[in-house]
Amino acid sequence: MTTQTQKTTERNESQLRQFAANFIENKLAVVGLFLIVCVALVTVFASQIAPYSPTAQNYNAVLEGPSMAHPFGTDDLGRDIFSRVLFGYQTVMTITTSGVVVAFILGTVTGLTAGYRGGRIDQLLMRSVDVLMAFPSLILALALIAALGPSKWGVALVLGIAYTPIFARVARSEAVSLREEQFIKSLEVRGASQPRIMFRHILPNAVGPLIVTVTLQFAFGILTTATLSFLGVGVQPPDPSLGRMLTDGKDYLDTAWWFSVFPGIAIMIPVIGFNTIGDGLRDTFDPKQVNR
Amino acid sequence: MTAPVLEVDGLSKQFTVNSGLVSRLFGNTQEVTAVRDVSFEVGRGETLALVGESGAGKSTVGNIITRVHEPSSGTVRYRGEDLHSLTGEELMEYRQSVQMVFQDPYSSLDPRYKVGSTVAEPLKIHTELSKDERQERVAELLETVNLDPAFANRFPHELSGGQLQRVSIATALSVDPDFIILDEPVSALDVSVQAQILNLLMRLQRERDLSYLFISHDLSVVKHLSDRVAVMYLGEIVERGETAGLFEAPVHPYTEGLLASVPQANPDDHRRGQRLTGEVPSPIDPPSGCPFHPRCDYATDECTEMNPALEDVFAGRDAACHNWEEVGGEAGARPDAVTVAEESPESED
Repeated sequence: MTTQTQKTTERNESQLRQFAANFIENKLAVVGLFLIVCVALVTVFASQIAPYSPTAQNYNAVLEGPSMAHPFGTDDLGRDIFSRVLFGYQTVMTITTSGVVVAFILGTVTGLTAGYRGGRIDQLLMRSVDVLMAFPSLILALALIAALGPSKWGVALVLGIAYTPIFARVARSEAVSLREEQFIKSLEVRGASQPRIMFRHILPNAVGPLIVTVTLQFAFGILTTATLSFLGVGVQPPDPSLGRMLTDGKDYLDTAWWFSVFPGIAIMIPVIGFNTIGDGLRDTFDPKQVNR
Repeated sequence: MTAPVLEVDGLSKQFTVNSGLVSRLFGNTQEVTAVRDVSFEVGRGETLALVGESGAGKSTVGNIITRVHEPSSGTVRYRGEDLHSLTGEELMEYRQSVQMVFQDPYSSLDPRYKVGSTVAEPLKIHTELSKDERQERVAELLETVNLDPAFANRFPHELSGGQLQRVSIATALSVDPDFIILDEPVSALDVSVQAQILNLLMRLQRERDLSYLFISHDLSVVKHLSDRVAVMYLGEIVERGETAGLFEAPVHPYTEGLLASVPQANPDDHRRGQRLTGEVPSPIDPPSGCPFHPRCDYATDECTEMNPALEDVFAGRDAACHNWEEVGGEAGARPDAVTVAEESPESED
């Protein structure tokens, strides 16, 4: 019995290892993973790494170029841009993570219900999702923020609502195809309840495409958060925000390029990272490529 | 026969095709009759086989009995209670008492669940056993179907088709059902494995006094396992009777044709009767009169006009054919043929 259990554990591990091996073959995705790990570390340890407080102003060092003391230079109030970028990551990551989690929960529940129940419920839920989807997510976000008022958690909620349709569609398409599987029908015949079937059987089998969607939506989430801040309706000062730094820096672009270039690069890194990871995961989850 | 466990009476099922909005607006919908006026009974410890080509409506009958579909008319009674009036707790009892084994073993188990969890799932739904008790029960069940209890920790993709089908059977048995619907349980398996599964099913039936509704298109399998056979064609039962007698002397031309098309081990052993020719007609536009007449060698003018009812043609045999007396060539030999069949049921194969 124990040897059997060990064997099975080994087999599970080897499956995981196979998955990892397939993923690692995609060099671009590995670069993306590396970028994301760096960003994650920097975000978590921002207060340890940052040499200055992100809000500390120093009028003796206004708009100074990159140097040993200020690696990314200083802004128009003499604040260290490197420290502000690190804390900006904290803000943007908190917002994006909360937003994607909200969208995942709302979208998956909606999509699974619509796809599994079918019929009128499907029509009702998915047509509402279509209405949401009809608005470009940025316009929708702007409209919602105009209603809610700009704040950190407002942006997170707005992201959650704006990205719900994408998760709903992915979850629905998986549920629709899984619903026809014999093991789902046999569960129905055996008297399994609908929540049991939806969340214990359909959801685990749909997790691959959903994970891909999560990573891709992270990339979009960071961009949207930065855009909203750039437009001045996102995170409000004094919270450091990468998008806001871009706006502030654009007036000094000819005299102090570092003011907006470094925050811009900082936005780009996680976006590229999540995109390449998403693509890599999608290729790895694709069953047609299992036997590459 | 003992008192029937399952009684199906006058069951019909129509499906609507072209049910989209545009078609509905223009009244452009069509009805397909998948099952028409089907009646049968299954007694305790008995096996009834539903036989027919693809599209004959066998699986639709199974789906109605498991309440996947609602019948358009007719009733299904289980232990005397109308199935489609069951709700709440009574329905859950029914779901426990009637289990199903599906055709494709590879897709009838959740690929992300270990075998043990799959077998234990009905116990979770219908009983309040603790986790340890469930594990114990799973081990017993796996032994019952001749599998090593260690298989409980395997995933479905690690098992062969025959092993998976044993797991499906163990899952069905987990909540001590009285009635099992077997929807082509062996047609996806190799012949050698088929025999093992059939013997397992027969042993379980003896040990547990189970009733089976055996849905199949494979006549040699049906002959091996079932007590009685109902032959379906285009949604209707065309012949019904004891297995041995029906195989020996079919009285419906369709049954005769089906039997003639079973491959024989001995090439000299020619069956009498014509093999089936032609195609199954579209159920959207069924032929007039007897649905089988376009493919029937015995068809007369009467057959093109009037659909024969399923009638008692002689003791223990019902058939829906105007010319049943002609079927089988040597006319008038009917009652003898039945006796012969009873004496030497193993003369074929």
